[in-house]
Amino acid sequence: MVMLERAWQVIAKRRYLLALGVLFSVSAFGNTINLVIKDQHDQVLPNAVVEINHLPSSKTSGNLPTAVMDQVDKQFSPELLIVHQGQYVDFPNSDNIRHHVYSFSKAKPFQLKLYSGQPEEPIKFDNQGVVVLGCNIHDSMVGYIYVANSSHVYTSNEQGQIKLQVDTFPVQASVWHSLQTAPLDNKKQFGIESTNPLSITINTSTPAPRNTFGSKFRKGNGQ
Amino acid sequence: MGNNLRSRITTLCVGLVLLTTLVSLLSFWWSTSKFQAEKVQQNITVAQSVYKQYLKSKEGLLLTAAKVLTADFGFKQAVATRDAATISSVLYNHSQRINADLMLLLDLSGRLVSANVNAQNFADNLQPLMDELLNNSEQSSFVVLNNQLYQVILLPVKTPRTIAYSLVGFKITSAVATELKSLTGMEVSFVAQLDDFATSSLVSQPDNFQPITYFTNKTTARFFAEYLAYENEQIALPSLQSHPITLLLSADLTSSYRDIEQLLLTLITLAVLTMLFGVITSSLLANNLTTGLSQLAVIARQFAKGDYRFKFEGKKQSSEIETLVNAFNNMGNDINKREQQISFQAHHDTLTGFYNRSAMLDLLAKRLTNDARYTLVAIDIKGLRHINDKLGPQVGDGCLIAVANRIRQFSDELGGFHARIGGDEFLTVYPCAEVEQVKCAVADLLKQLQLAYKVKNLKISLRFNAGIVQYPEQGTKADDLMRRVLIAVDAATTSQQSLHYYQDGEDEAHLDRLIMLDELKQAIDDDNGQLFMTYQPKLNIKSQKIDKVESLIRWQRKDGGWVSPEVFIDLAEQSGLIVELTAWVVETVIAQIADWSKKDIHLQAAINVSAQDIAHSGFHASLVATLNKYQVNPSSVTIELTERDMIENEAQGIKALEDLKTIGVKISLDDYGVGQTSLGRLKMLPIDELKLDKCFILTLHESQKDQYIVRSSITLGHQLGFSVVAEGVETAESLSMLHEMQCDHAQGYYLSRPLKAQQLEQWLEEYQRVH
Repeated sequence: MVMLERAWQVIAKRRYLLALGVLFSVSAFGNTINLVIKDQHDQVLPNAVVEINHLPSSKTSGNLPTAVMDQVDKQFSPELLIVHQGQYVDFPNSDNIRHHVYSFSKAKPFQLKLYSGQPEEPIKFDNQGVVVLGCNIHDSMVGYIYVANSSHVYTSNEQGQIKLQVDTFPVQASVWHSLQTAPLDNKKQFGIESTNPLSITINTSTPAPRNTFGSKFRKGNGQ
Repeated sequence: MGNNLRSRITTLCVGLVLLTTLVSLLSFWWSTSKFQAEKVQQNITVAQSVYKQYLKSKEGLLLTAAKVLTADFGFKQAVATRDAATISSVLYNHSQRINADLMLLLDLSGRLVSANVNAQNFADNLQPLMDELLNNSEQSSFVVLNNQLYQVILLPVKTPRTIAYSLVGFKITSAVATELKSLTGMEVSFVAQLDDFATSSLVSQPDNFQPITYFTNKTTARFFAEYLAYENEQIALPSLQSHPITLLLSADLTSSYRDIEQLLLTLITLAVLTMLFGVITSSLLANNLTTGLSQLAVIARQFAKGDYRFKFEGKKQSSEIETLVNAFNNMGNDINKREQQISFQAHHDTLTGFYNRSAMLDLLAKRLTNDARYTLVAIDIKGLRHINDKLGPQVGDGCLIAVANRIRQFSDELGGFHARIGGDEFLTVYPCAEVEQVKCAVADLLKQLQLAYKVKNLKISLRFNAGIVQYPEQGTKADDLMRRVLIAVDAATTSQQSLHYYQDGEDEAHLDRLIMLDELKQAIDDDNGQLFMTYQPKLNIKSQKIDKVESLIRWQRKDGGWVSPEVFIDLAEQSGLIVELTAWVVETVIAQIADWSKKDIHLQAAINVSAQDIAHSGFHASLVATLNKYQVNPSSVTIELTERDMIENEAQGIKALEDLKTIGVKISLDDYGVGQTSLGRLKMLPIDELKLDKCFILTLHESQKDQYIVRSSITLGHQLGFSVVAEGVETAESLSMLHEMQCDHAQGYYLSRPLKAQQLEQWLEEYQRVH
């Protein structure tokens, strides 16, 4: 809960980005569709990402601002960052320790070797997909950058709700969540036939507790 | 085991040792077994913690290895980029570094991606294994893979999300089991029953070795039975649910059995030795104790046979036995002394030291040989009773001793021997060949004996009777000789001679008398008519009536022969049978009086009694009882006594007569005139009747002297207040003279001879008819 709260604070901080997303949808579509994202246990899922397919972004990458994936208190902040294809992301280090941010995701493998403060340059995310971020030093740090190719991207709120703006029917959309049991690169496709409210279910798995090995290691050392 | 002291002591000692041994054996066995069992249990507990420690350290190694592997950035990169060659080489490299036998990389769905060993050997899809290991992710697990047992740990590869799993494991081989064995000291086996896998530290394994079956069933042959060779502890190791792995700790019990057996053996050996020692010492002790006792038993038997020699052989004895031995010794001596004394007393007369009669008989029997000739002289001291009565028994004894001394002197001179054979009778036996010599010697002896004795300052002269028997002429047997010499001395006494040589036949006469006496006794007891009473009537001269009879006893023996009353009464008096005989007479006569009384015949009957009867204490009471029994008036009975009888025991006799007189019985003095009754005594006698002896009456009518005597006696009697009876009246002249002399009664053949009761009745009838 604490982490989710913290993530939300980060999101609030970057309100303008959300405002931007909302702006896109309002200008492009006339109908608002209420979407609720739930898991297999009928629990609402916040931070699910819904993308309406085949609507490439009207903006050019050059116009896109540089997104920021900060590292605060040995956490990526925000945990989930949605960027558009070709957008730059900066990885500042707000901690007073060094981090070694890396990703082995196909969409953008990279690593920023031990640094503190500001890395030399922001990184451009050319390919759409999910980029999982880790820190080689701090195994518990996990972050996600969702690289969207559609201009219509939404994230569910705390109630798992998303208001989609759709002009014409039917439209194809996809949904993704970091805890989904399907492979991380998979996006669940669904069609929207009408303005009727829609409920989408995603199978999730509970995130593994942090620092599993530590205790075991200590035990293993006989302590 | 017998009932003797020795075996009892031995049994007790051995029993105690046995009991002690058994108890200590049992307690040793129990405590040792318990100790050993506890030790084994403790070893197992230790082994458990040891094995845990061992496996934990292995697990730690595994964790380190896996951690190192999965944290390696290069590895992560290789996995993320699915660079198969790199992954494989990394796995190999790491496995080399940490000596891991198994390193597998599995993708998230459990497919084998890469392995440090030949991947062909593993199943393609390890997802079930992986899932279970993930659920059990806290620790290492034991799994069988590729027919090998591994301790494995599964760790995720994170970039930072889990993209794969790494399975790291150590092979569990017999080397591991052996190492564990060296740490725990127990046989260690790993068994995966469902996977048909087992490995064990056991060195020499049998064919088709199944550790659990083997260790739980293996037995070892010990002293008494087969015992299980191992104490087992099965421990479930962390493993897959469907593939349990068991760790079997097997403590070898053989050594503990051996220890117990060693201990038992030692104890048994000690016990046997102790018991042997016990047997030996107790038997020594018992021996020491019982040798003395059995020797004493032998001595006691010897004492019983009369051998009082005391010879005790023995080593040092206990003080109690010593005391007993001394007591035995003293007892032997005392008994010996007493026996000699008793034996002497049994054979000797205490007063004179002479042999007694029975010893004399024995001695005689020994001395009577064919070529020897002996003279036996029995000596009777006359009137010794008077000396005892008048001068006291001490003087009597003194006389006896003095006489004995003279006899001894005499008999010793002649080389004879002597005995005291009765109260006042001695016997001396001496060798003597010639008859003349005998007479001479006896005369000499009597002469010696009749010399005055000085006893207690009294000078006493004694008179003797002697009986003489010659051996072998007058008897060859000791008892015959003894009897005959006594007969001889009796004969001397009776005949008032000082010497009587035994005459052949005297013994037989004596025997006849004995036989007669026996028959008389029998006749009294049987009362079968052999003895009967006759009655001679007495005529009351004044009234010319028959009012009295004299009852007279008669005896006709079984063979029909008559025995003179003088003979058998004399015999009865001598033998004391007279009391019984008189009792019979009294009863018969009184019964007769009663019978006559019923027939209206009133007669006074006179009964002859002897001095012995009067002296007999029961006579008076018996007479009274009989009178009462037949309801007869005492005045119908007259007791007739001779003068001689009255003189004996005078005072006592007079008293008894007075008593009789008191009850009304009449007393008559029989045979008056021929005895020694002085006139002085006559006046003192409590009599009612004088009975003149028949010697004065038989020839009364012819002899003037008899007439004087009879007339004056009658007058004397009358004047003393007696009635007078004349006995032996045989003629009418005599009767008429008596009548003229005022005699009261007449009795004799002139009137009637004694008649049986019935005849008397007839006679009376006849008499009364005539007169």
